Amino acid sequence: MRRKPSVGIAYISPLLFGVLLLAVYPLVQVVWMSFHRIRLANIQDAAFVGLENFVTLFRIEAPAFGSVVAITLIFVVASVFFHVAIGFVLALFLNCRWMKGHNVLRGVYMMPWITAGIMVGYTWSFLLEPRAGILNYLLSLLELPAQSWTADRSLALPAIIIANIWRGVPYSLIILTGGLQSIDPELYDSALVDGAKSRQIVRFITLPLMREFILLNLILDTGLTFHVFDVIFAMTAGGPRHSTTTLAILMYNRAFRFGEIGLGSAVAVMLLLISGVLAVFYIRSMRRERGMSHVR
Amino acid sequence: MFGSRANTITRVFVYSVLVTYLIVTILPLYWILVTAFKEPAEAMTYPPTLVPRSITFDNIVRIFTESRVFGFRPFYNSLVISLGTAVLTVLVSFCAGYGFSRYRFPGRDALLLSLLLINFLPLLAIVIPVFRLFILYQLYDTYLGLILLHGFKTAPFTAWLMKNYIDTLPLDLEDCAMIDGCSPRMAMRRIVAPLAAPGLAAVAVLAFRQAWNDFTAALILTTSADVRPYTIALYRFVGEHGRVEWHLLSAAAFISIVPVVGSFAFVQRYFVSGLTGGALKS
Repeated sequence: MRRKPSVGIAYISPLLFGVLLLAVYPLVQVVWMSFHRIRLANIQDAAFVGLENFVTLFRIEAPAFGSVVAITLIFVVASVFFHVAIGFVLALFLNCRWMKGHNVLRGVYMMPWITAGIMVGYTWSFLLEPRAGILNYLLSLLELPAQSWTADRSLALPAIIIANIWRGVPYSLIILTGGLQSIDPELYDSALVDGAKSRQIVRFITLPLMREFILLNLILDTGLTFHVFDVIFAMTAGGPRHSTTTLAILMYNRAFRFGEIGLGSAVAVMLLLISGVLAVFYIRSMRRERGMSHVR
Repeated sequence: MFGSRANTITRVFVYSVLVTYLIVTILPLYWILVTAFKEPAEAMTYPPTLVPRSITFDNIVRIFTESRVFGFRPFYNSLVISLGTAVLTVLVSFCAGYGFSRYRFPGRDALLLSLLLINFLPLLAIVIPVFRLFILYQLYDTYLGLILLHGFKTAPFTAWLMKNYIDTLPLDLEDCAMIDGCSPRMAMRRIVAPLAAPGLAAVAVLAFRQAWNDFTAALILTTSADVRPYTIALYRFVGEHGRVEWHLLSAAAFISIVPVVGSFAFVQRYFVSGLTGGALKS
């Protein structure tokens, strides 16, 4: 049957319209806003100030921009590392051919991922609660001293990282399971016939064949983790004394708590730049995928 | 480990790792579950009781009935927003997926690629201009605003999912129908849509989850109790009480998690393969 190209364009036009309006336009607009002084109370007034917002960002002392970036990086690197590492081990073990009940297990492992971020935050606040919390109770069983996790400057960051790791492992599990299932089991069989040990199979067969999937997992998860907001907001809201203020929290505070929309936009632009760099890697890794070779 | 059989030591090792992480996954959720059904007095006791001594439905009832505490409204708002998002996303991504799968037009490949990039665009980075846009066009603090935002945030990805799904459906069926006098539009509605139903169900669940779990967009883009979803109610509930009543918070959390878990359990089998298939294969 002959199909007219114009009809095809008509079918995708609702999507295009929505994406232009609610993704592309705001994307351009946020860059424009970052060069203007705009107050929340009077959002239509914008005065061009050049790079002033970016300069101000670096000048603000509490929280110092450098420390916000450092906290964000620690949060992202630690979260992503454990997401991928734990996700890989779980995916690998669940993929064992003699494994029973792997579908049920996989379903249960998925639960943190389908739970709302704000709930993940409160659930962990509850577990880490200094007086009634179950974690301090478990510590007391081991005769360790109780901690006031989210109120302690040195423990708040580890606390939000733990909660975020718990939440994000299932995402890696899904992607890496997809990768493992694309490997032909006959490869394992022939390696076993040749007397290979499990450790060697992982190192010389699974890992090389999973390279692209692990890379994709790293890129996508890094992109997501830079923008985690609700978990942190629920647990610490950036405190105590800015010790958990990431770029995402900084953006919200500047734009919507202090009403400095221009300054908030400047932080948003930095988040965008990070996403942009990751997107380049993303596209490259997608192109290397066999099926994507037609996309240029 | 990689063979179709394994010795006992390997089995014990693999299962113990899996069960350990199973406990890590379950424990926080279990804790919410039991606290939601504990008497207030027991919920406050120290040491905490892992196996509840009392079981009560009072907390759940109080969440729904006492509007001072929470009320029914936030859940109703969430439901309207999430169902609206699901419907919008299903319609938009089915049409787009069909267009991309069955038609060739200039710029098609570039558009497909840019959809992937748009999907990568974080909500947080664009929420400030969206806020301004919503204020200017009366979409601030409305169901419609949130539905549009969540719908079009999900649609680039789900359009891909639908395109890949429709790619796997044989063209012959549509062609036969059209030879028998079906118009292309009828063929799409009567033949492609029913065949794509499992894919559409997955899209609906994904979109529902996106809206149901959202906190950030609602925090910034809504203000009145008539529109605000339960996630915001949860936040305000914690904020307003100096000392958190964990049994009530747990009850609200438990109620909120039921619809998502239910809908995911429904499509899980398809979902695990569908999600990665959509992201990776063409």
